[in-house]
Amino acid sequence: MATQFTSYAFKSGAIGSPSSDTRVARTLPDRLSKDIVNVKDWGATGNGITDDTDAINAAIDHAYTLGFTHPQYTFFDRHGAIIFFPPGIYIIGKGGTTKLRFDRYNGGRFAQFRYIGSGRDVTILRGTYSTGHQMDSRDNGFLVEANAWQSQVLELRDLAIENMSTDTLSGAFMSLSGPTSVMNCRFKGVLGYYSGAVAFGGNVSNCIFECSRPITAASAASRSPHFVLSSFGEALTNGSVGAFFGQGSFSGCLAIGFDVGIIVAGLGGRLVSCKAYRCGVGILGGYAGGDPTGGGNVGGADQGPPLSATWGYGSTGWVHTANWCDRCTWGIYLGTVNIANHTGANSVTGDTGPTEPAGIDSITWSSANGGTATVNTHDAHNLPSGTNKLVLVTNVPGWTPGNTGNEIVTCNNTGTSQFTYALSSNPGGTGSGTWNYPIEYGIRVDAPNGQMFSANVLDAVVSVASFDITMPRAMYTGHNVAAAMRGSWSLEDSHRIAGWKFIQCGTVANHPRSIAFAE
Amino acid sequence: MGPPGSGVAGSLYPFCEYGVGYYLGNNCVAQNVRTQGANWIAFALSGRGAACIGCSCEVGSIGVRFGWVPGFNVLTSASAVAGATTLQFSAPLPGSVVAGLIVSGWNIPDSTNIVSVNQGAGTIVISSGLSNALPSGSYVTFTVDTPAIGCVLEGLQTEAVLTAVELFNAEACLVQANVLTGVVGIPWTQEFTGATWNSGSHVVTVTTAAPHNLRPGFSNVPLLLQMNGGLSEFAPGTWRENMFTYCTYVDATHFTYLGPATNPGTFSHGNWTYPLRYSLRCRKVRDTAVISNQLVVTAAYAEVDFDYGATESPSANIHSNNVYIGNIGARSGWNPPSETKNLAAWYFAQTGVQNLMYNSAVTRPNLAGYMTFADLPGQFSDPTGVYQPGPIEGQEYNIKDGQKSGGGAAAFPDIVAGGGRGHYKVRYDGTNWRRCG
Repeated sequence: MATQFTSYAFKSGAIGSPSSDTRVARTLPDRLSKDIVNVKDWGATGNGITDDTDAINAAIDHAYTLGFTHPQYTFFDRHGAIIFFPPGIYIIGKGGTTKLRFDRYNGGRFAQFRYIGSGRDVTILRGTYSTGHQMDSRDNGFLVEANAWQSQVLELRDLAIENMSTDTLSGAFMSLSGPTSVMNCRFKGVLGYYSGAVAFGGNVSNCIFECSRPITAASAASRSPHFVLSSFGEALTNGSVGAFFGQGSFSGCLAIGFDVGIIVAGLGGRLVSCKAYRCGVGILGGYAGGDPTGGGNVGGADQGPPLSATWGYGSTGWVHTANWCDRCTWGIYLGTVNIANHTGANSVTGDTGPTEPAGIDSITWSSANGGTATVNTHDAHNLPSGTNKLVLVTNVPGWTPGNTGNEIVTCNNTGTSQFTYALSSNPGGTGSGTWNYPIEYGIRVDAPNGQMFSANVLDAVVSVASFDITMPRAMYTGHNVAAAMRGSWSLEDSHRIAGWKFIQCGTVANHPRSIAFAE
Repeated sequence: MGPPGSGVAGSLYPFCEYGVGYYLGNNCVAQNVRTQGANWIAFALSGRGAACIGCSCEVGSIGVRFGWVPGFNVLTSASAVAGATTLQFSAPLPGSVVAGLIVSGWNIPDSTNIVSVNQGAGTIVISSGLSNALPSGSYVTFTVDTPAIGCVLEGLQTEAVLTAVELFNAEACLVQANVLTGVVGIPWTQEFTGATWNSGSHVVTVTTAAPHNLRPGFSNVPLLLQMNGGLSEFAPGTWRENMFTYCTYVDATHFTYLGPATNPGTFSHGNWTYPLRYSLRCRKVRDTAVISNQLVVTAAYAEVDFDYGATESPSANIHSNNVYIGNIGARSGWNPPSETKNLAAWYFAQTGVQNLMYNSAVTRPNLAGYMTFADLPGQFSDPTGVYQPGPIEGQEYNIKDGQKSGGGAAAFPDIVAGGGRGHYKVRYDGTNWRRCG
């Protein structure tokens, strides 16, 4: 005879000596509702249509009644409950009017939960949410958030969070304080993942960050990705960021299509074996802060990007190794204050920038000015006025000055759909092809102090330099070493060069040792 | 797996030449992983951005190899004797078997490649002779020589691994903060049943309890011996525990070594085993940094081998633009590159030792005083640009055959030429190499 679901007890015959069998009878509901909180038991559908926000909140509220309260750490009211998401697409946000909070607190007592899905491609929390703010003191624009101080997400695993908004200051997931263990997740948004710069001891591994803004053609009026360096330094303006990470270990992740792929900041951490693909800046060490809508440093040291140019947060004691930046305008940029970091065995590759190449309808040649090629673009190119270095890929090699058919060329903006460049000889006929913005730098360093760069492979075809230290701030440039790197070099012609020791660096044609004695 | 001398073909523990514990490709990370035993390679890295962090491996042939990808296997169709360089397979061989492929498998020395292929006859010629006989029906593995680019090894400990780390094909890799340890190659030893001393030649002949399965005809092979419980009167005068004894084959159960000058007395008991071989081997290494490692393997062949790959055809021992800084060790000596164009590829700082601790096969505790003027960048032909770029202003090296250009001793900052006897530090000023030290 079948046993009723609600009364089936998990106790059977004794194992070994009956007198030693101390197992306690528990029912299936005990196990299902107390050990693991399944959001579908609380009404979530995961059908991709129904708004599941209330159901998931109910599950989290129930989880708050479970778990363990540590006798010493009593400010954690509930600790360690597991909330499980079966496969499905869970719609969040009630049409953009609310978010999902993974934190709970009651009268200053906090909860810490674990959120487990069934795989980053089969458990998806999706919504479209934006508030115009991204500060911890306000209604942040993250679809999912655990922002209450000490109300941590202990673990986030095997699920995707997708904020489909393309608005500035919107994002997928925010966890203010650590430690958070995030494994095998996917985050989609203008900002994918944010943890505070003082989120101690976090661990993020094997995650994917996708920008909700599509990669545009180079000719787009608001092209994306596009990193804009503000007058202050490396602050972002309306920028998209794959992940912002403060302190801990970040490994085996992939960021695609952001203005900045991965930002690391704070005191002590490791960024290893990550890849940034088609980003404005692949990896950024340190950032500048401030809320563009709040007028300054409103929220304290834990503010995340994208932020305006009012405040900086450094990166100290970090190891950046075995990362790979492919088709990023700047591969690695150590900005703001970077102290005592080791950046080694990273790869910067690619022969064109992150945007999609734009079409060229025709290229014609004239003998003017010793030979000029005139390009008519398929769409309005939206290039800045004056000269621009562009990657030209032409149907016939002779249409590029180096006769390669794929090279970086200095072009003059001569009209909304036209630019020209010097070409000494006539290839004949009419050319065609594509144009794109180039990769500018392999590694760029600002304000370095106690930095070690070793064994980085700078293979990208760059328009400026493979390794650039032309922008150091005077107060922080010393005790730096670069070793076992080739590529091209762009150096500061000032006394700051004395703050560097170069070992086995450069090539015969381009090396960092041609320094005047006075420097 | 059996102990050495067990007589079980193909199971000579830990001389495993097939198994790979972890293969890490693009942006793959092995973190906090421990491997134990029976691996040919515990961690193999290739592609871009792989990392091995906080791991350890104990007992095996190779701890970490930078530059390895899976290959394909073909079975031999005939046996081959020790030292053979021709291998027979069923004809015709697959078209994918071509000259240049890396060859591996049982009794095939590391860094062996295909010199030539006769597809129709089903034979290949390999660059190194077999280290021992190869039975018919043995798997031989062929792999494409593939680099590890931008990969990292950090926080590794090895113990009882024949070769701890191989920079087999490494480009822009970082090897830092690893500790490579181990004294005895194989934890299981094989017993002697007797030992005799010749009063005329002072040669000791030992009898093994079981066939030792060492390569027939070998001579001067380093082994680890224990006689009469440790520091033995059966040992040469300079011998002490964990030093290597260089032995010569007699027959399946006997080998000899040069013993003490005086009669050691009566043999009571003893055993032998294999030693560890290398801490670090460098084959193709480019733009790579080796920093802050402890290399203290009791290595019979070399602590650091800069000549790895030289026996391939053509030589695969090619280095450029590397740094080797702050590494502790070299008690078993450094094996310099036989191709001295490779010397300029390494910048050494705060590394090496003054004297060797062990009687390993090599005798150099460091590479100081080894380079000549002809080895400086720009002084040798490098049409394909595979060696150290240069000369570049500011490059500095130590040479051992310097003299003032035109003859005589060079003062500071005289232009320097080779062919002399001066141990100079020279610096390239953009036009000439000048003495600066």
